[in-house]
Amino acid sequence: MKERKDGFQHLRKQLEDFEHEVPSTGWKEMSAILDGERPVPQPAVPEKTRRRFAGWIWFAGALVLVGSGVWLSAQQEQRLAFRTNSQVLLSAMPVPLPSLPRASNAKHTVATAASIQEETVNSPALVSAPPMPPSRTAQTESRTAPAPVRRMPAPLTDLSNNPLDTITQIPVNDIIPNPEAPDTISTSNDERVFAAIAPVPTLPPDTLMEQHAVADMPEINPAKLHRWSFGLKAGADYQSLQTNALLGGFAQFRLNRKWVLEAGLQYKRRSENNGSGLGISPPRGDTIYLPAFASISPYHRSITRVHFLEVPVTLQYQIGKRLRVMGGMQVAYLRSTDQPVGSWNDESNRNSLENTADFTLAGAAGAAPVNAARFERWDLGLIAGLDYRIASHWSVDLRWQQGLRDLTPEPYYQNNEIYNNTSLQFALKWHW
Amino acid sequence: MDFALGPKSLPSMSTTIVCKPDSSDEVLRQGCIKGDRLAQKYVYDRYGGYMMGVCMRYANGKEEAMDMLNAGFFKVFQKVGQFEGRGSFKAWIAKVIMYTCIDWLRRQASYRKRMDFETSGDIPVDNEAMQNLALEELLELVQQLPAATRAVFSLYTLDGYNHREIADMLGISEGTSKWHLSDGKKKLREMIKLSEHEGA
Repeated sequence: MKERKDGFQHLRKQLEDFEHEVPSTGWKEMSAILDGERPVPQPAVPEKTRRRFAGWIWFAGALVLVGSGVWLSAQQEQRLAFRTNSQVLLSAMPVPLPSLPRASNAKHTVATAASIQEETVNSPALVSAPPMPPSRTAQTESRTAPAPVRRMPAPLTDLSNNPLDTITQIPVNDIIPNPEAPDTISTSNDERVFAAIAPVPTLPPDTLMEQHAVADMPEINPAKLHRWSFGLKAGADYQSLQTNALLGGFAQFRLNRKWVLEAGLQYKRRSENNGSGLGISPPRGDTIYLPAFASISPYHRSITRVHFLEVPVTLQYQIGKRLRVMGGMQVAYLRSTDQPVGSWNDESNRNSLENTADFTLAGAAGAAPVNAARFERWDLGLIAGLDYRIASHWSVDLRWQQGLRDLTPEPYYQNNEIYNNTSLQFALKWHW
Repeated sequence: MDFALGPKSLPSMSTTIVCKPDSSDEVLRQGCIKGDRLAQKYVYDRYGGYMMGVCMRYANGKEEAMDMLNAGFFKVFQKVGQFEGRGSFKAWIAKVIMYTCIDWLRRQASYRKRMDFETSGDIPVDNEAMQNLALEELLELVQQLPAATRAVFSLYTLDGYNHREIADMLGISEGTSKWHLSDGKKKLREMIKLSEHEGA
């Protein structure tokens, strides 16, 4: 070992022959230990300071996210239900309409479905224009000063095949709801109109769909609602100083236009990459373990690999047409193995201990499962991230994964970044 | 922990090796291999003081140093048969004791703090002030450092290891080792100034 001139040479010189008085009870205690009458001294390990509080904050955040999602989803479904019902009622109602003589353009006639039905039942033959309630007529006559216009969504059905040539077919987009008389309609056409009005649900004006709101809806085929889809993903898991591969598959269930539930199964592996941390083997049995030996031993160094099988479940919210934000949780199952990595070519660290049992690690004899007590078998974590659709079957996924547990019960491995399943993950996803 | 794993003392009549306080290391070692309690006592008495000095560099006080010493000697007596005679018996025991201390500190300390000091140099220390202190006084100050910092400081300054070796031993990065060393020097300097001020 080279002598270093750092101002402490004189201390090292003094320490060469430095002796400190051993307490008088020293050998007595040692003898008791050797006889098994006293336990071998162990360090006082401080209580585990796991950040449970932070975990609860994450959990509360996830609950708020899910709760908000459910509430927004309910609101969205209410709007969609109104929209769909309006379209169906206005465009697909089979009403047998009588042919009417053309009348003056100055007159506009509106009838209720109930009155038409009643007239049809009472008079099977074609009759003249059905009687109309005076009040309705009065309302339609006053359309010279129309109320503020809110356009309805595009029609779902084509009325061009309607055989009733005496009836002016009204494109649904031209129907103007009259907020003062919700169960009547008017038209911008200046011809005589005969339309059927069904009892359309009366909703406050702010619930009506506006054109720009319709344009912002994601391009999702309604037929794909409440459908499963599946995919594969591959990417990288970046954690502390190492990046590892990530492979997996997933299934998605579209709850509605905005919300998607995704569950996956993915595999990743972590290992030591810089000669510290995971390269040190764990204590064996109940002997005093000298973990530092593993790092400097010329012959018996091993590397530990930890295999993770993860099941992430996320709730994803659609923003715009391509982007989704996600939050969720995951459960992971862990396995670990030790494998020898060969010689440690550092002659300066050779010492007379190299062949002692301290250096004989169980894993060095071959890849063998590590003592089960070394790692927790199960891990729990939280997820937050983004999913961006880059093509019809492809998307990229970026997520932060926060492990909630220390993965090992051994105190001196705790608070080590490698032993907490927290990472940043990037993946390319293929859907079908 | 099974307390009965330690080597039991064997009847002295069953061995031809006669251990005396002034017996050679090899004779005592052979006695220890056979579990001769008397040989173990002579080894303990012979090297206990020096090993206690090693433990004092890493412990936070005499009591903890005593526990480290006995844990280390327990290991020595368990594994003494695996000493092949390369190097001195004393150096071998010192190595076992030192790594027992390191393991001890690893179990206690948190090395979570990760700071990069790759480009930073050593913080200058008032060596003159340190030279005025007796070694035991300095060790008492070192014992007041946090466990992780104490381990790095002792390994670097007192035992002469470099940061890469320390990082391997403690399972930390070199940057973390440098940070602990800088932090240790800074605290030590403050303690020395404080002791000088109190002395004045």
